[in-house]
Amino acid sequence: MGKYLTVKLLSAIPVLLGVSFLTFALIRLIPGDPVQIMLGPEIEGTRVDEIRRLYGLDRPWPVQYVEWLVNAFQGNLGTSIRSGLSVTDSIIEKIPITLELTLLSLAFGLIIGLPLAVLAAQKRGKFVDGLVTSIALLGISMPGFWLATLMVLLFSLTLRWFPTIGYVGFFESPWDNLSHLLLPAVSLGLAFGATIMRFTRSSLLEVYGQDYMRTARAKGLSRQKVTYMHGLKNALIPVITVTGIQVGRLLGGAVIVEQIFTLPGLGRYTYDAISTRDYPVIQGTVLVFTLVFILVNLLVDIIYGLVDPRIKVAGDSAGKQKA
Amino acid sequence: MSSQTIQPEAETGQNIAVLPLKASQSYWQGIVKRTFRSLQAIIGGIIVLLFAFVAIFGPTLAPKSPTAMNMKSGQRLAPPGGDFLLGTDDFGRDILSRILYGAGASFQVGVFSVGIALIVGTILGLLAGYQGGKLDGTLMSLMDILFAFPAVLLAIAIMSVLGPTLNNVILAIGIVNLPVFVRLTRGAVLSVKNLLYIEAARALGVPAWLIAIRHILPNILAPLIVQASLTIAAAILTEASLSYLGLGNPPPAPSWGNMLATGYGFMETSPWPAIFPGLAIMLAVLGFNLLGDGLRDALDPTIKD
Repeated sequence: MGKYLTVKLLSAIPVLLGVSFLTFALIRLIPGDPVQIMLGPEIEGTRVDEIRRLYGLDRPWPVQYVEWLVNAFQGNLGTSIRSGLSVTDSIIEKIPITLELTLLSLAFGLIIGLPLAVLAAQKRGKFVDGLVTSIALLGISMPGFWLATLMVLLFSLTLRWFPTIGYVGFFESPWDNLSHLLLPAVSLGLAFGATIMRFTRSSLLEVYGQDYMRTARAKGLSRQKVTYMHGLKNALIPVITVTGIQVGRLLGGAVIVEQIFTLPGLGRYTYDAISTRDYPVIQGTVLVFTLVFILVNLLVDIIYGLVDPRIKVAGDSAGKQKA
Repeated sequence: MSSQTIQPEAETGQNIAVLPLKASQSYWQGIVKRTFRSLQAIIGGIIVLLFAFVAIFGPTLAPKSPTAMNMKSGQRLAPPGGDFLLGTDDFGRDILSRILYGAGASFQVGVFSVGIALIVGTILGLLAGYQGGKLDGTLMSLMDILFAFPAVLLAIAIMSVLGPTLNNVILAIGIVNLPVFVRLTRGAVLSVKNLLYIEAARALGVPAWLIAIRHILPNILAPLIVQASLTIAAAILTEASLSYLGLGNPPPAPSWGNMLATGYGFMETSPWPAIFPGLAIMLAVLGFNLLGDGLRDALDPTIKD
């Protein structure tokens, strides 16, 4: 396990380097000079050059990249061209909101997805199965931001159960915090829950066909016991992988959901930075998003190793193949 | 859909005549038969055909101009019914006509972006899987890097670089979806690469590219088609997200995502501009998801019940 983890950890480094390099190159291709955008079109000449020098934007970008990389290793992601604030500080301030949103939608998705999958698989071919499967299909077909719109219309504007926009910190008022995050989390988590349901259902059906399941039934275990003790444990292995990959989708979805509900999280920060060409901010947030995604998938690999003992022996390739 | 995929199969079979033609035909005939027996695939197929029809003939079908503003009192944000079947938006533009016009962009982005990802991804996957070695290593690390970006974020970044035009949306979403097809093809190549019949073809002196096209590709076509259908569904959603954020097909051309975004602001008094375009998106995505699911069941020989 230790060696397996080390290999996994080391393999994340080139991916992070690649992502940061690609981002760096990509954002420098975005048309529009960030300094000119900040100062406005009427200011020209030496003032622009001066500020460009201040942010190191006058040097060739490969040099800028290496310099950025050295600083990033020390936890310094530079300062925002727009606000002059430290990017690292801003990210630390905003990331809890995005993480809370992502975790809530992850929890919501698993809470609705897993039990419904068990229900559908046990009632395979029956009416309940058809109903649950159809709802899941609608769930993955619905744009998250449209669902958000409909929920705001129903729960916020008509029933007035939840606030429409804004954010309150968890430690200020946990209840207000949750009421602000519930609708965003549900609109973000529904498609995830539907995906989990579909995967778990087909994975369970596959497991139901295995010999050991028949043996367990034959020795007198009840259907429920067999499902939860033997079935689900085996069926969840591919589901864990899907969850890891879906986290990337949730993080990307957070960019839009935070925009709709005006949550001051990392997604909104990134979106604003892209529209104002705030290079250091884009660079920093994309790195953090990717880092979170890679760490989550590393965690998935660890859980994987715990659930499926074969992986420790066979190492990386077996895990990939099963996925 | 299925009849189209038979065509190239049969043609290459005639030209090269390595495998008996009949066997490959009955394989595809079986698939067509099973596809038609799948209710999901049929419903999905009908929705997709309908969507394609509206995408092509939408401008002809539209009762009104999608951009003509009606600013007279009572015509702005007019409720559904009467002169405007689905109501009007804040500029008094006919929502039904805008939805019909917007279908074209949505359909094009879905089909063409996935077309790019499918073709380029399959070629790269074949190369990586068949050649192996350094090329494989480099290509797959590149794909890992692309895959590590949250998709919407990558699409947003590419769109900011390229600028908001329809072609750029297609390109951006195509790039985002590339890794899925490369991985799928590569995995499938690796699983058949060392089988006896490939070795036999190699021993006969069949060039590598021909082995790839004639002997490996038909094996992996089924999962690729299924994946393509499901990815088109996802691509339509991504396009809607981008245009919701104002990074899609630029206004005044109507796009479903953009209609939703502007409709959101008037939701408290008149919700229809924010409801109908979403319904259109969902129906289009549902069609491709149903088709993909149905095809998967029809094409997978292990699922038979």
